[in-house]
Amino acid sequence: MSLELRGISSGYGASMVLHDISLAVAPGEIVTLIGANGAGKSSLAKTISGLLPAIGGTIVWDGERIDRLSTAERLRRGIAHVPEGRQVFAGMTVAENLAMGATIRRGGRAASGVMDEIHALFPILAPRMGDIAGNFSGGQQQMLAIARGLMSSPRLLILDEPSLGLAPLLIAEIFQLIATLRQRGISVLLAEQNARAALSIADRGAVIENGRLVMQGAAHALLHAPGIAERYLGVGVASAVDPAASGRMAERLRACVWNDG
Amino acid sequence: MTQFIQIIIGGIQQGSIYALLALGFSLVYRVTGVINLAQGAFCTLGALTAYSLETSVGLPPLLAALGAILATTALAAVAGRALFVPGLARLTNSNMLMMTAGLLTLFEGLVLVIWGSQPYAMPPFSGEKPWRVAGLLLPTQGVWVFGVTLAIIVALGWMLARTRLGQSLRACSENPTAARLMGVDVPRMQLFAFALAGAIGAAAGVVVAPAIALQFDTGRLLTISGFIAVAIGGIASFPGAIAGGLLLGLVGQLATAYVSSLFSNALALGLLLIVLVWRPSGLIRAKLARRSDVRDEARVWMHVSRLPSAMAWRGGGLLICLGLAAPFLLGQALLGALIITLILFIALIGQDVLMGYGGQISLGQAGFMAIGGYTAAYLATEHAWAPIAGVVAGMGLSVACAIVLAAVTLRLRGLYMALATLAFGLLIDSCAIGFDDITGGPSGMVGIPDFSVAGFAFATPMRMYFLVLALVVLIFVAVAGAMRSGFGRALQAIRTDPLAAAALGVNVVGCKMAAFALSATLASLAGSLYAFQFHFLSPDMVGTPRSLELVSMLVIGGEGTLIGPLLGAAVLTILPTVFQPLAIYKTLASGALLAGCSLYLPQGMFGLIVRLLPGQKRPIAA
Repeated sequence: MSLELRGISSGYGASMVLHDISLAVAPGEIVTLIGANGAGKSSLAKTISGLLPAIGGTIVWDGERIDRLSTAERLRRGIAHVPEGRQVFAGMTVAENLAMGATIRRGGRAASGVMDEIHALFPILAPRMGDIAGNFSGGQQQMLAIARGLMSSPRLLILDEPSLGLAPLLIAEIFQLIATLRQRGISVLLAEQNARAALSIADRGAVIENGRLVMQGAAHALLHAPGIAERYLGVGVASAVDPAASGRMAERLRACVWNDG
Repeated sequence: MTQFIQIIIGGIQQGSIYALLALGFSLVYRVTGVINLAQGAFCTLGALTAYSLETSVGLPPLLAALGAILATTALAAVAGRALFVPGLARLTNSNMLMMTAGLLTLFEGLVLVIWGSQPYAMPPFSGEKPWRVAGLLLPTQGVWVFGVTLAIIVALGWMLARTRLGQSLRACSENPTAARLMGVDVPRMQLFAFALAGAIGAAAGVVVAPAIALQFDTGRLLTISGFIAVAIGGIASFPGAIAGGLLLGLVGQLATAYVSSLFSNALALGLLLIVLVWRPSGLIRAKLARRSDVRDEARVWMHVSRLPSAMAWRGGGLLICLGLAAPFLLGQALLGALIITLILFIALIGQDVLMGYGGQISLGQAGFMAIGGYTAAYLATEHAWAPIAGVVAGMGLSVACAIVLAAVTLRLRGLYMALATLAFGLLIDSCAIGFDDITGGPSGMVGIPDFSVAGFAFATPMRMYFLVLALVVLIFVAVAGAMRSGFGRALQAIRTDPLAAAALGVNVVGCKMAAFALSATLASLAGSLYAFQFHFLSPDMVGTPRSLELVSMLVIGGEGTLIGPLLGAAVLTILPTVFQPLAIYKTLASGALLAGCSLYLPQGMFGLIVRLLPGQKRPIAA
């Protein structure tokens, strides 16, 4: 079950957002897309799930071209997309939200065992099945959105900014969860601004800048690549090369503050 | 006491129908975010089809009713597939509103062509004799109406809450993008909601038909009542729609019984205005459901076509030459039509300032025509004022009303603004009928003198024509200038984004008020000229149907451009005069034009002309 993008271009109306993107996700692999706000991560996610039509290039899934198929058809073939900003059905209950996730399954029911698995992965959801999803906190809604994405038993889960607007503790929890998905044989394509956290759980990473793929490689290699560290990990050039640099910077800052006061 | 309970029973019967109508509105709105003004037309179509199936085909009543509901649903599905659903992907919400207004007109035209304009009376299902229960008289049809309403509410509630289909519909209404990601075919759900609303409308029409006199424009009245009901109750919730319907029915019946039947409408509208101002989202709020994509924002941005200035000057010169020569070339009938076109154009320029430039949907423009027309006519006939003084007085009164309306509705935008202006127009309608000492009531006001200035009477069509032409040129030049000034730019900024405009220092409140006042002044002037032109004025000449017609002209011509409305007014006024023998198709044709234009020519005829001119680059689709 591998996904292969070959020279994908896409955009909204006359304005092109993605240019000639080629990327592959192997079975059971976590690949992370990193890039600044507006670089095209979400557009790429939408293009793969079919919310946004590809203008050029092909998408091959499991040996079959899927770039002309509808979202529902792609979902049937095992590609689920958990969109940016969670997008739960706010006025519906947790149970109904989960049921919507299984819309494309025959009879609208999740495959047997999926529900148990979801309860095991997301213990917070079980006691709240009858609650209205809109009353949940951001982190709970994100859990629900991921759970909903898993209801159709996908083999590739596209996660768009799952850490958006969440507290650090919750972010850690979500990333841990993503790592466990791999053990269940689900491939993950993770679009993230929080590059450090994403790269730390991913097998491979790809960097998008202005709609073009500028670099891809093993996650640990990207984590230490100087250009990446400076631009996406919030570390200056000096500190990326020399681990003691940030300590010296902190020392200087402290001196400034205390001398002033 | 018995009498009071009797009135309540009547109110519940009336309210049940409003509730059914409101339910149809709410269903379509929740799934698509659009108010479907054609809702009432489904009732007329359903009822008349049932009538024909029963009397002409000879089906038993129950079968005829079922057949009618099926036929109407099928028609709704076709209209939905061809116009409504494709429109959702391409049009702004205000253009969608116009499209449904077009559908309403289209269906009305269809009824006119098939069943003619005479009223139909249908026999009650279970005989005329009311049931007598504990000293109370229950009209049997009322029991039917209530029963069917209850059955539909229960069935719809069950479908939405318990079935997979209902769940998918609710998912679409909560969050269309997420629904698509779940594999829901969103356009199909939108079509389904539209057709289901058609079925509900048809069922409502079939049961209510025996209780009312039915004719081609009943649908329009039902649409308006349902619209008001749903606005009072809260459009985003089904219980709200039902409660709003019942409340409106009760208020109407109580007002008719204890105040006056002439003012029952006015009271209902007063209620609506109060609700709109006090609690714009309706008395009953939706459970939670802040729509995650705010549908009041445009899905699509409007592109306004403009002529290059050299061509505009030449075109303008040509138009003026044509205008000067026209009366010598045209016959009497066409000259009359041309005068009407120009008078309506004056009102349309006002409408365009408000709607095309300011982005405030106004469905009450004819209300200001009525104020201007009746004031000038009343002062001229009863108090022998000089016509020009009457016209000025009418303008003053209109501006005062406009400022009050604008002040009251300042917080409202988009849909709610449309509703408030509609309510205002209807209020003026019912005043025009109610104050029969001044306005002559439903039969109208006769013996209005010729327009005259300082003893010079504009008694012949020729004189009237040149008067109106001069006024049009004057107003056109003045407004065109104003729209290029800071005021025009501020208005357009407000249309695009009021918040951003305010942040740039635009006086949003002041500009809206000024646009309203300008628009009302022009409408008022047009109304006065209209009265002097016909020497007669009746409520249906300057009522809400006229407001809707003005909006059609604006959309067909091309809103946001000053000359566009002239094209729209000319098409809808002159063509029917030329094709007099085909007059019965007029409504059908204008409905088809409006619905088609809003889908295929969102920039109107003017946009089409600009695009077809040589040397024009096609605007890049956004």
